Amino acid sequence: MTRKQTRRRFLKTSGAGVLGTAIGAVAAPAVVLGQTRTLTISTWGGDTENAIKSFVMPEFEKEHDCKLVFDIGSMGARYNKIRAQEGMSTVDVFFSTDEPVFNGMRTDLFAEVNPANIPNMADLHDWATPTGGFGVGYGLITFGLAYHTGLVQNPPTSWADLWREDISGNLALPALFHSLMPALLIRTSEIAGGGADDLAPGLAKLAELRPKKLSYFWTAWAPLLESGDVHVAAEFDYYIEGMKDKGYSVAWNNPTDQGFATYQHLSIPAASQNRDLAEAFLNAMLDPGVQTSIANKTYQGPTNRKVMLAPEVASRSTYGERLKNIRFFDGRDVDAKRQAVSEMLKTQVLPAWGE
Amino acid sequence: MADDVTEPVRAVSGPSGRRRPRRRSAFAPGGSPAALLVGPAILFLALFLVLPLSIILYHSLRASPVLMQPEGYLGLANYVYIFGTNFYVGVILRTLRICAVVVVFTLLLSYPTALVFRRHARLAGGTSILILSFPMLAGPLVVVLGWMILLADGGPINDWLIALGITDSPIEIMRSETAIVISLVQFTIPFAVLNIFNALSQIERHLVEAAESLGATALRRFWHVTLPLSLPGVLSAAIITFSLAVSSFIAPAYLGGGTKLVMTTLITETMLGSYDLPMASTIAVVLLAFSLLVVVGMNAVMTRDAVRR
Repeated sequence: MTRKQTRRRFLKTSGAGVLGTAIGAVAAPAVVLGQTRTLTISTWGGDTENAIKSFVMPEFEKEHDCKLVFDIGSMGARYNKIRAQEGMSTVDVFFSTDEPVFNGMRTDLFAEVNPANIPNMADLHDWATPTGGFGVGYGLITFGLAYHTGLVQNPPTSWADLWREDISGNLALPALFHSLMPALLIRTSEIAGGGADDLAPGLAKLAELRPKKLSYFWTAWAPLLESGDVHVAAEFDYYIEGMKDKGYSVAWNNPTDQGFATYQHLSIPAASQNRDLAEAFLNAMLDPGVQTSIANKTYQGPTNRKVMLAPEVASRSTYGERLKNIRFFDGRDVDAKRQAVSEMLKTQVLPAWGE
Repeated sequence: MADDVTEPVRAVSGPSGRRRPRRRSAFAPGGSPAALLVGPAILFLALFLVLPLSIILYHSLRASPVLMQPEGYLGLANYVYIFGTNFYVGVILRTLRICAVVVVFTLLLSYPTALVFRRHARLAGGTSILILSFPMLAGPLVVVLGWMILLADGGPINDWLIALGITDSPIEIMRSETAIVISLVQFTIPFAVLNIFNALSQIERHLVEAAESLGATALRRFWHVTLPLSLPGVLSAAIITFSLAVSSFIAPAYLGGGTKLVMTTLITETMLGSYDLPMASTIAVVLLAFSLLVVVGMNAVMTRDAVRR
């Protein structure tokens, strides 16, 4: 016999469904939490996330009887989330460049790490702890000049080449608020006769360029490289090496007047309730074996002195000879100037680029 | 029923013939206390719309670090700065200009389409609307990536223009407002067509037939009967198109080349790039205020016209 669907039956059924779902939603994480500790990793998606999952996660979870969960997104979005949540953030390990860490240190957003709990810190290069105890650099990459191997007959070799007639209108540059934009402005100012404390010549000179694309990530300008709209891009070395492996006609030069060194940095938010586990994770990321695997897979340069890369990987990473021709900017200084620099770029350079 | 409203509880006969009071229906108009029915929705809105907006409004009153105001400042400094700086005024004007052009082109293209669909609704109306709705299903990102390929200097559209002899060298469509407008018009057309189609479908056919029987030409029938009666649909199409255009992020971000900032992309850049929450909040409040003004204005104009007619 078919049961007649009455309003009361409908309300009973749907009410039970909603209640069941709610109980399930509340109870399920509690069950998981009851079994094992959870370490929340805030990181970039793609290569970085995959590298963690491949080279760190299985052994780490087993060794520490914990579960890694990921909060994936762009650095700016993730950093702003931690800022907005302040003391309530559940993030335990934060992947970024060093600059937001300096920014967060101003408001006690990040905690100092204890080197005693991170034995691999003893093997780091001198330059690998830029934030002075508020985390560690686990990788080093270089911002330089990428170019289309088929379309560019005379590859750019210095930052000044961006103003060459055959390049200045076929460019992809970092977005206005990209973490490397202040460095590019400082270098441009130097080329134009100014410097870090005299940015006006740099602003005027940057305004002379006509970029076809401003981007945060190589995927935004890659289609334009293929269509021939973009010939040259200012970009990180490891992105370009990844693009080569994907079949793009692209090469990368470290400018003779020095590429910009950029840290892949790990820090621990002050609100983390799993400080010990987070420090163990940092230690794992500094392990020579892990750093070698990450370099082999993603071409991010290692920060552990004990890492010995194979020649074919070494030549494609920020490692060995390349370390002698890269420039480290003071992250604290860049962070202090960022908002003012961004405003100057916005009001004095962008209108010219938008013409 | 009027009785239900004026006489909510009355005695009715049960199966046994015994009279029992009839309970007020939870679904009937005026049946349950209104507050109980609208309460959850109001609470939801208050929590997830009004509260965040209030927080954004508060942050907009804090001074941006760029303005070097004293610690703890609360005031209108950000607003004064925005409306006094050419760059920000330019971004606001660009945003409104793009939206206006998108609304006009979308309505111009959508209305005739909806008319044709309405006329042939029995034959192919449903299928046509399904096909037209495909961009909605695909989502704005897929649509924009498609335009990135089509509009590139070395893309097919420029190839065709050169092959047809219209131009000798590629026209730079990417990183222009034109590219943003093209993409947004394409994305919003299905929304507009559906709204106008619904409005046209509700017009009683005998009204048009009556005009025809009185000797009105097709043009006069359209001008004096169909168009006025479909204006509510046109209004809702315009409002939806404007709302989609003004809040669009992907098309300006990808097709504007990063140099043609509109208010949404400016908010993102300011927030995520320079961590300037007060300034980003101020731009967001200005965007919301302009959007509300335009929508209310459009509504007022269309309503006034409808009343006049």
